[in-house]
Amino acid sequence: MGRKDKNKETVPETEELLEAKAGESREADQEMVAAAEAEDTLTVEQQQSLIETLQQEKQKNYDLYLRALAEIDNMKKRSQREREEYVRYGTESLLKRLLNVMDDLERALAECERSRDLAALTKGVELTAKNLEEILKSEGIEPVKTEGQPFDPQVHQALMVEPREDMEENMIIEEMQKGYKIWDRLLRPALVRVSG
Amino acid sequence: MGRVVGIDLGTTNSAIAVMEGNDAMVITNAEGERITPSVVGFSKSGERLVGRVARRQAVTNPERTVLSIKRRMGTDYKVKIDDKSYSPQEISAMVLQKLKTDAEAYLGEKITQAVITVPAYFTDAQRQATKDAGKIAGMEVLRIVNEPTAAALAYGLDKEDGQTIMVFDLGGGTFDVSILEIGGGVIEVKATSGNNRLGGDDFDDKIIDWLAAEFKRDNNIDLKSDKMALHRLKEAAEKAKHELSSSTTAENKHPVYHRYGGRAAASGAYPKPGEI
Repeated sequence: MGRKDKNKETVPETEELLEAKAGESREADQEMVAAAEAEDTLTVEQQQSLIETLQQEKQKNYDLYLRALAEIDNMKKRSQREREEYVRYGTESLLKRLLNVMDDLERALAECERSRDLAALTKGVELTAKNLEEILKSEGIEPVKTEGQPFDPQVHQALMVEPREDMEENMIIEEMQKGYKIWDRLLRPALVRVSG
Repeated sequence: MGRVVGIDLGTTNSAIAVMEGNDAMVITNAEGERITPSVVGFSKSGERLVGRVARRQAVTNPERTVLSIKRRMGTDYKVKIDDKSYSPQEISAMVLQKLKTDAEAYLGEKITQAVITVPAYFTDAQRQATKDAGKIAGMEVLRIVNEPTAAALAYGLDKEDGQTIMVFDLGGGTFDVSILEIGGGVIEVKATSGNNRLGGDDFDDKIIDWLAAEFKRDNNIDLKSDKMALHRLKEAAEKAKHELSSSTTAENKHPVYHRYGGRAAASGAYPKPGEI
């Protein structure tokens, strides 16, 4: 972006300190200008002196600005690192619970290999599904209502429209795939067939 | 000093970003996504829907859902809904409005100025229409920037004096190639070409066709005739396409079920590896 010097060192100054320094600098400027205005005219020496002081102030402010930019950059980097860390390990407790579901499925498959008992397998998968449903619920995942509901594009996605004599228009005929919300946000829309 | 936003008002999708320090940050919309479909729908009750929501009801409401309005910018085309008539810039303004509103909610401050990008081949009329759309949406459009130029700037290529650059932009629905010449801090578009009816969606379609053909050959069932199976195919095709950006093969394993004559015929748990 064409910036000449990038001061990358971490600066311990906080936002308040920066504001205070900027405030000081503002006050100093105002004092100087007031003093200058108090005189009718300034001698050349006084003008020179004023210019020098203002230049120093300008340089100081510019430095403060560069440091503030560097601080933002560092904060962003730190924030990014923290975010990556969280994304990687933040779901540890949920994943542990999902491992239990994996155990159940593996057990079901092994049992199926051994006994070929369809009824038992069905029961096993049913229980596993219920367990998984509870885990998801505790993480804020709830299915989207579709049965007997009017089509609502906020939570449903229409895959197709079918003319139906026996139904009102714009009602859900059938859910093709379950939709889910996570807390108050839509995670995945329910895929539905809509009457037209 | 207000925040200026940068907006990519695309044919299929749009995005909005701000500068945070030295970097551009794309702002997520109300649905938590970084891109917003450039789709506007008018429900039967007259409610205006924009973005992903509008997309979801397109099938139930094709005559009142507007897609790819960018293709009509700078023309006299009118969208007629109920007893109202909308120009392409008014429709585009609805998309811009959603981007603006969601961005304001995210940033916690008002947005009054924007820079919007357009294809390098856009005419004066098309550029003006884009500017008007911004104005209708309540923003002062500071600049209309060429898309390939914006891309070059984003990569800092304006520092490469005396260079000729090719920008290859393969979007959702359009494909644009531009030749830029950089000199004395100025970026000039020397030539443009491409196919404005070719995009990522077409790649997905080809993969879907191939998968469906393979399946049909082995099972004599046309997956594409079943909307649900087609949806799953589409998801699988897009996923495979993404994987193929970084590897030479992509595997596809899905249990596939097909409705055949109203009855669900489970075609079995088909581990159908599609090696491309």
